[in-house]
Amino acid sequence: MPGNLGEHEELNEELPIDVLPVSNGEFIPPPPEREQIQIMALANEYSEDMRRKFGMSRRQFVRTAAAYGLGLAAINQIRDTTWGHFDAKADGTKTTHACDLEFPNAQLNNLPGEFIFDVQSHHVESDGTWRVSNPVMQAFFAGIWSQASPSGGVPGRRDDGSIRGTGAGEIDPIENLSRFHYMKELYLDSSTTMCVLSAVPSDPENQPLPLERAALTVRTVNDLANSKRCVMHAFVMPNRGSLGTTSSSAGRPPVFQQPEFDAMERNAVLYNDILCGWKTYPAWGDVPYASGWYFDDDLGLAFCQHVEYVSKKYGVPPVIATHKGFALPAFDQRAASPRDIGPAARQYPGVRFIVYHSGFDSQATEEAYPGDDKVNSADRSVNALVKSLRENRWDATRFIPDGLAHGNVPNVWAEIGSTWRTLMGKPNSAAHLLGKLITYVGPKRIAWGTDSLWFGSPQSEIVGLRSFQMSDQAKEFYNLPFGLEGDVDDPTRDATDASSYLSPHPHVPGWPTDGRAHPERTIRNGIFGRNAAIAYEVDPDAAFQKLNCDEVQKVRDAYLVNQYTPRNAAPMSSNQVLGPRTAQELINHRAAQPWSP
Amino acid sequence: MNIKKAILLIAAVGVAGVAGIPTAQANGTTYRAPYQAGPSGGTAGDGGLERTHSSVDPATGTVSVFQASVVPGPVGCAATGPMAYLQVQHPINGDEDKVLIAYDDATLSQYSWLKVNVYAPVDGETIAIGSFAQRGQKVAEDGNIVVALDDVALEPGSTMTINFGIEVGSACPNVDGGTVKFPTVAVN
Repeated sequence: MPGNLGEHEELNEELPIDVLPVSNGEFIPPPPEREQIQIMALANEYSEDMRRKFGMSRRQFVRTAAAYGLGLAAINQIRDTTWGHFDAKADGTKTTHACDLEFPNAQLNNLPGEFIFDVQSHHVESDGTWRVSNPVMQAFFAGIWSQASPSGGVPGRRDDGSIRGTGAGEIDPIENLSRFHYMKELYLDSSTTMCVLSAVPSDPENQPLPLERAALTVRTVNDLANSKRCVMHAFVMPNRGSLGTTSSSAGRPPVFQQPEFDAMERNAVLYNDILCGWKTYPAWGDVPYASGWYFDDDLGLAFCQHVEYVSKKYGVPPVIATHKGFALPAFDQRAASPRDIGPAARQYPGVRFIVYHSGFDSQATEEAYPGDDKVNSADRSVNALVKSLRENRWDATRFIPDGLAHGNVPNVWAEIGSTWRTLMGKPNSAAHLLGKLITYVGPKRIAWGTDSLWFGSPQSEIVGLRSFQMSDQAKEFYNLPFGLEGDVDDPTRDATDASSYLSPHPHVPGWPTDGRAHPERTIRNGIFGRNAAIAYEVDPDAAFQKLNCDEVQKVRDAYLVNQYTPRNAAPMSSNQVLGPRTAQELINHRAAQPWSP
Repeated sequence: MNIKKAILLIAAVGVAGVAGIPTAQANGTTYRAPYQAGPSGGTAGDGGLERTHSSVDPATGTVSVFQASVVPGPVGCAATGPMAYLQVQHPINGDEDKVLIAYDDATLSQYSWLKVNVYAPVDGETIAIGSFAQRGQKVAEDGNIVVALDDVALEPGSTMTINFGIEVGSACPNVDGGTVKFPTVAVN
């Protein structure tokens, strides 16, 4: 561990696990709960104790694996853990033995079987024309994500000589959301192995990441790596030109729907090697608070049909990634309900729906599915997604193979970007989120996404999922005897136990019989990336073979201290959790109509 | 009441389909109000920035659901909207393949849905076997809903639950909702 990190003032001293409310820019962060403040205070106390025992500076210590473990241990101490907890080996440690610094789940290198495929990642084009043509957008980014903010002044130096900017310390704060930081925070400061670079809603002239610039990022990453580590979505707005009407009332397609469909074909040709699907915001329209559309109305069904057409003609995976849940200001928030996923998925079984956020909208807690009678499917909630699937007879319980206990919806993936971050600090809610998604969408249909770069590095979320354990009560309730270690095809078998793979499974074709543990088959590792790999037509094992020796991996290896050991540390990583912390921070900049068309 | 009068009354009920009594017909059973109250819920509307109202009148077969929130943006915006359903419990004979529901005077905003969900026990578990959702807008519209039931092995003697009503989406701002009257529910 370098001994002089104390001199590196550009490196913050934040704890790596931060459970305080933070927004991805799509919802108002609630005030911090008393327990959240207690967790951070306890984690701080643990960390100060430990770093003093080892004679380390705070900057050094917060970049160790142990600091992650202590953060999770603090969550365990403060929260009710009836349904789940974190496997935090540093829990209660009071010794000064060197091994106390070990916390294998925090290491940057991938754990056995792990293929982390982040299907919701973002950055902006820091020198794009949008900064001139749409200054309110720049103001929005500066306000919404603290790393892009000059902290109340113009870029430059503070009186004490330090550089302004609360995040990675760029003199131009927007650079902190740039391509360079995208590559650093995701590929070097986290264990992420592959990403989908997704899109935000905007007209082409004001787009903070125009498609050709997104393609430049994807190709830069892949060229540097000499392997395929990045693919991308293209944004489609099938309701463009609806001018505030809804398809159920207009009686005709929106004015620019056909040009949008034509652009899909053009992009399918131009970016055929890296385009992996289409990003939609059904709640986004020409007129604020209006123009929402649904996948089961005329407009949405026409779009689904066109996705199938483009897939067959050009070979682009028939993937629709769609924002469902978090209510964005100026959006037609009613159309952010996942109520249309069930009917559309049933009607278009050949289209793969990636439901961003799983329909979650910053509910205080997540509990067990209460039953169809208690849920309005027009809500913005995980329960609404479940009900939409159930009432359309398209939930996972309808697809349970003979002899097994769990099924999978054929063409719906519940993505947990921002949702996992929001609920990770509440183990009971986290357990119910995963439990009901496994039950009603399927163990092979939960997809990993993080909304990074908006939050900075996703490593704390990765460490959280690596360490999360369902309680015995949760395992029994959701019929998951081995929790997230259960085999993704048959969760009643332990994928980490070699004895599970001694003889053929009577109901699972291709069941390994080599008498070895298969960590790549755990539900946990399915969530981390292998599930989404199915939707995006990626072979994780073939990809991983290339990744292991690619150039990005070499850079990351060189970046680590104690690599491949439980004492892994990334001395130059940026721990800061980014995003607006209060309603006022969000409102101040939303007032500038940041997402204006 | 003597036996003759009782027989006449039952006959009259059968012919007229008077409230609460299902009318058995050659090709099915028709129910008329009063129905049972079904599931309802959503935001209470008494503490937040939005105001909600949901009510069912089983006696007349009327459902009314509204939500209004006048503050734009997500500040205090509930993620849940109101819903209300009426309900019919139908004894299964095993031959049912569809549910037909008539509605009168349906007035719905664009973010309200006429909803029908049909549940029945199959292999020991109560599951949805049919559903219908139709988005507004509607203005004083009369019509019929046909819900084709899934081809599943219904268990004669068990009970089919038919929920019919309105669900409303939530947003800030919004003024959404609707009202509708259901004169008949037929199971064929």
